[in-house]
Amino acid sequence: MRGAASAFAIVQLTAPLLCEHSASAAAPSDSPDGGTAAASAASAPPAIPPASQPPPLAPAAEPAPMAQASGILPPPVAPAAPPPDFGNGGTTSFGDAFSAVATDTNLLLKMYGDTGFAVRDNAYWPWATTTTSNPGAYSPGVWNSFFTPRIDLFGSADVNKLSFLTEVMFEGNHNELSVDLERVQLTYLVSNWLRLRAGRTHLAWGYYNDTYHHGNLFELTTSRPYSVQFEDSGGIILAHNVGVGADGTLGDGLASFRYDVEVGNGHGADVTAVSLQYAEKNQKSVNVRFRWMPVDGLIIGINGMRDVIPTLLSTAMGVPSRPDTEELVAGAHVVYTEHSFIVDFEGFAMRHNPSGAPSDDIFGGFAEVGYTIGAFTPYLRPEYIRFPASPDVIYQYSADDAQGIASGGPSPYTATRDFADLRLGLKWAPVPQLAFKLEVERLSHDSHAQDIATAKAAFGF
Amino acid sequence: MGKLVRTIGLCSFAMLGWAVASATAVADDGFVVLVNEHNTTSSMSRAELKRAATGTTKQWDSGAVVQLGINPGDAPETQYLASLFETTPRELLSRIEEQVFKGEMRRPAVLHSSGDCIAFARAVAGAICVASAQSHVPPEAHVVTIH
Repeated sequence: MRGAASAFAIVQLTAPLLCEHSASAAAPSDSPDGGTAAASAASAPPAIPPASQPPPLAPAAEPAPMAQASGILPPPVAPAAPPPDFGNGGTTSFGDAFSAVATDTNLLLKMYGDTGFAVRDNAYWPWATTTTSNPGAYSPGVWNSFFTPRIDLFGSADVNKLSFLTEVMFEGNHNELSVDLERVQLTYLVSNWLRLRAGRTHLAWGYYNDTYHHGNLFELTTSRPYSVQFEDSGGIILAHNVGVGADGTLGDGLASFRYDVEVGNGHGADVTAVSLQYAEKNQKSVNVRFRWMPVDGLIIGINGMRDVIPTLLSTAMGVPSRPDTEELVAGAHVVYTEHSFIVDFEGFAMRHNPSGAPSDDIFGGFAEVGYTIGAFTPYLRPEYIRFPASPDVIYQYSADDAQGIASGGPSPYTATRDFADLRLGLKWAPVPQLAFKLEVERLSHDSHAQDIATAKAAFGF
Repeated sequence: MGKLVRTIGLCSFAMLGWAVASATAVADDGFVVLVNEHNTTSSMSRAELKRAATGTTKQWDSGAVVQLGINPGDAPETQYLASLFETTPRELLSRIEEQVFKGEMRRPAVLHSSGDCIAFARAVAGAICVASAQSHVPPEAHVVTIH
């Protein structure tokens, strides 16, 4: 078919050359009434109306736009001469100052959230003496609960090459509302091969971590993989970077690459917190990601990160402090997101080098696979993390050691060697603003398991 | 005489093919991709167009920041754009929203007609949008050939 199109294109080019006079007589008119833009694309010059003629604008009597309703698009442009204002330095047509600013900065405000119902069977879960403040979710037995844990306010704005993006999260924390500044990102585009950013961003790690943020609407599953969970939810890979970064794309086609380089505060002494105001150390975390994108939708990437987790002083008598620890992480990811497939394979290897203590290693990875059929996407996500034989110095804390006291509870990985999670589910997105998810999950700690069934509605307006 | 007949025959065949090709281009596609007059891009592959429309390519060679203009929902222009990427308008719009949320592209301008696209391409240096092939292209914008 493309060959035929090429042949036609060749004929289009050669015919007027072969038969100049005949062609000029037989060709469609280049006049505004007779010519078409498609024809003009192949035979310059294009059909051009007189310069004094105003642009033809169709009346805006269209039905309610889906994409506008979804909120990703700004309000419709008033189709009236002179040409409408599209922001970005154009003259504003609104009377009040806020609207004027909103128009000139292409301001976007959206809200994301989710609500649902979960049933947990903890019959085989060894939570006999847990200190968690969420006993309904983690005590032995079968528990069920509705949840509406968060609302995410997302804003972005652009002025020429300068962009601003923010996410402010109101989320449930032990059944109390807390506010978290999840992303504050200022970006300046120098060129395609160099974009500079500063603020609090998602670490450019693998694919999942900075593709999916706090709006669960976009994710396939009801929650993130454990290894790339957020810091305060048991994540292992650093999720946020407070600092500066650069990224860019190079080349094209088979030689298409992307790089990301980030320097930031890294972990604080409490690994469940983000050092958003001040660092507790002078050494900065360094993260590098390199991707090869040889064909449309395919990403093959690698990561490397170094951080130093500072000493965590114990606040309790008789509890030893945790020494400062170097953290080295390497990762790889292979992703394909075309032709209705969503395939994401990610793996990592982490080494901890604590001062005055032996090193240990953690290995892990997950595979997320989905296939979209209309508005439905069935999916599967196995995840596995292998912890060292002796407890990892950073992420396998108990409720009674320095980190457990600081964060108010034990690690989800305490006393575990093999941590596995298997999810099977269905995402149904009847409209762009709403996605229903039905999911069953088996969470295994060595020989113990917890079964979870979740129904969730994730939305964005 | 024979040479004249061959020339006339060749010309007739070529003219027929050209006419069919022109008609086919309009009938099959019916839409064109427009950019601002200062944009030096004259042709793009579908992959390049997709990169520009979904935030991978962020800047034109002219230096202007890529700014997509898109018609909402199942508008014919959006269907055409999605068909170039072998996807559906819904998946395309979801992808765009995801990219905006990710911070990889600026939110698109909403358009309601081919006339809006033409006005958009005239007014914004980095604009790219889809208009009906029947539209009149003003000197402040030009068509990008998609191959």
